[in-house]
Amino acid sequence: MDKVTDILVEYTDALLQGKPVSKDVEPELAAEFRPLWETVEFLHGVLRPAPVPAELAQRLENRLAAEWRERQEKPASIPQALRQALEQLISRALSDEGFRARLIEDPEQAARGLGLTLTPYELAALRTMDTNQLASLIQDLDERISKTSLGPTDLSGLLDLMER
Amino acid sequence: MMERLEQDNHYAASAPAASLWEKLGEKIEEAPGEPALNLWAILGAKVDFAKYKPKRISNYELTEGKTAQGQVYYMLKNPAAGTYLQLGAQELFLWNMMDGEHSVKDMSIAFLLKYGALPIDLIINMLAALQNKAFLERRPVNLYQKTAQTLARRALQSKGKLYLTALKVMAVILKAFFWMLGGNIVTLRKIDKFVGALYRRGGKLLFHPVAQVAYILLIVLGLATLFMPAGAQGGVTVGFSTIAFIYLGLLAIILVHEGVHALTCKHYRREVKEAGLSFYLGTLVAFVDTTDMWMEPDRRHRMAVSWAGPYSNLILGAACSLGIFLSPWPQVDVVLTSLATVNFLLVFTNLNPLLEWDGYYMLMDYLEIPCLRRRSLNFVRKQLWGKLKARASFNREEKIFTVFGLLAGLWTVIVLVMFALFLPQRIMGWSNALFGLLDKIFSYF
Repeated sequence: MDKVTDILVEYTDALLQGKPVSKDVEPELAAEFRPLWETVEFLHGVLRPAPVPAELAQRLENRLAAEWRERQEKPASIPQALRQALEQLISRALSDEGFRARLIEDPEQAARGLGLTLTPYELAALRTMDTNQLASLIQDLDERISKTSLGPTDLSGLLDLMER
Repeated sequence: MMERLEQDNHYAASAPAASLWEKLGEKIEEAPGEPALNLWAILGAKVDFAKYKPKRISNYELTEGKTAQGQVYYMLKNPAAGTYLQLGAQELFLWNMMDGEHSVKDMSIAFLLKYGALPIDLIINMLAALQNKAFLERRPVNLYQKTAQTLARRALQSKGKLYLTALKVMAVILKAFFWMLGGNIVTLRKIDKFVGALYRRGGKLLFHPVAQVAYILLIVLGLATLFMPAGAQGGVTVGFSTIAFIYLGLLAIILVHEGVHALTCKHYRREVKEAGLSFYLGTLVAFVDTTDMWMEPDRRHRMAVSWAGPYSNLILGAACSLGIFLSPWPQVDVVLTSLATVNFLLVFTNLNPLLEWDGYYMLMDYLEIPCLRRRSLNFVRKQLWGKLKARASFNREEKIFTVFGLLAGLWTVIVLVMFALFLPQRIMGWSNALFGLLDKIFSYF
């Protein structure tokens, strides 16, 4: 039972903090982007066939739920490793228009071109980029100049009237 | 020459063993705990856009508004520069990060985490707009563009003074032409305090519900009497005094029209930036700048400021019409008929949305599309034919841009052609009228 608890806590911490974990589990970390129930399902799947005590499952579920809510309410923090990879990619994308297009089209290929091998976790983050949703609302504004033409005050017209 | 060499030798003899640069180099090497000075790294960091830390100005105003479709937007104002910009929620997120501490890279990552999108084009466009409108401190200078401009200017100068003089004369002529299209003649910049005082000392009564009812009654009565025979009968001789009254009446109409724009702006607690005399497409105009109404979130209030001018002309026209019906004096009828005609003409002129008169601002506010005219003309010029060729579908804005852009473009061309054709005739008319009026004044006395 203690071993099961240790494994669960270790993987849960790894999952929540983005710490490196063993290779065979790492791809599944992309599950962090999935809803909570999928994450819990994943944990259950890892531990199968060992039975998960109901109390422990509940505690884990509560902890994950709290973490999930917190992430929904404030901008999420990201693991240091991902931050470094993102920083490199974004720095290049900011200064190189061609690279920017390639990054949006194929993040994996673009990153490889920079000598970066992205983990599935990082790739999943980059693939969620939806460039189309950035409909810019920034808008220059007209000067609002109310005008009255002085055309009707043309003296020539008035003098014509006077001549009559 | 010998003297100079001796002097150099003297300095060389008295110089210390190590040169200044060597000493500085040693100092840098010896500096405890300091990293070696890497000039290229520092320069690299300075010009790296990703490391640029934009800092917003400290003195700005921000208001929140919502379109009829429920989309939230923000109006940004720089009170010192008198500039305005509209932002969306995503741009506001970036604006809030522009504190001089976060780099463009930091902002991109934070944005990616919040919105799941890489905002590079958004940031580039936003920074350009913010710089143009003076919303950033330490505005970066486009060194390469400035250098290119300086080189171009020098190249031009080297081709000879005659060539340069000819270009300068052409520039002056073009400048005068464009000034005639939209340059200011007289600008009163501190008008806001005056209008504020006027509003507090009685101007606000114009907005009282009782006054509103009186306007409607006056309009109804005035329009009803428009088609009735005048009160006074018999012929009339138009003299200098009649002309003087008409002229004073016309000036009063203009003052009232612009005055109510300004007072309505004050009614909504916004600033009247300036007023004065100007040219607009070759026509002499009196103007009031109510750009600050952009900070007013309710579009009906913005429309009310634009509507106030033509509405005042409708009221005054109706009052003149009622006066003609009631007046027993033919001389008064001549004055009132002229003033009524001008008032009704001004209502229609100002409500025409195809040029930037009051009707244009009302239409723009109603449609909630800032810069409607500029964007429509741009759309017609750059995108319309491509979309028609490709038989692509048009969204709401594109449909509006097409209809408005085509009509506004056509109307502007007509006005400009008329301006160019009749300008010499008009100048002659003005000078003849001026001399004629002086002649009449002298003969009157």
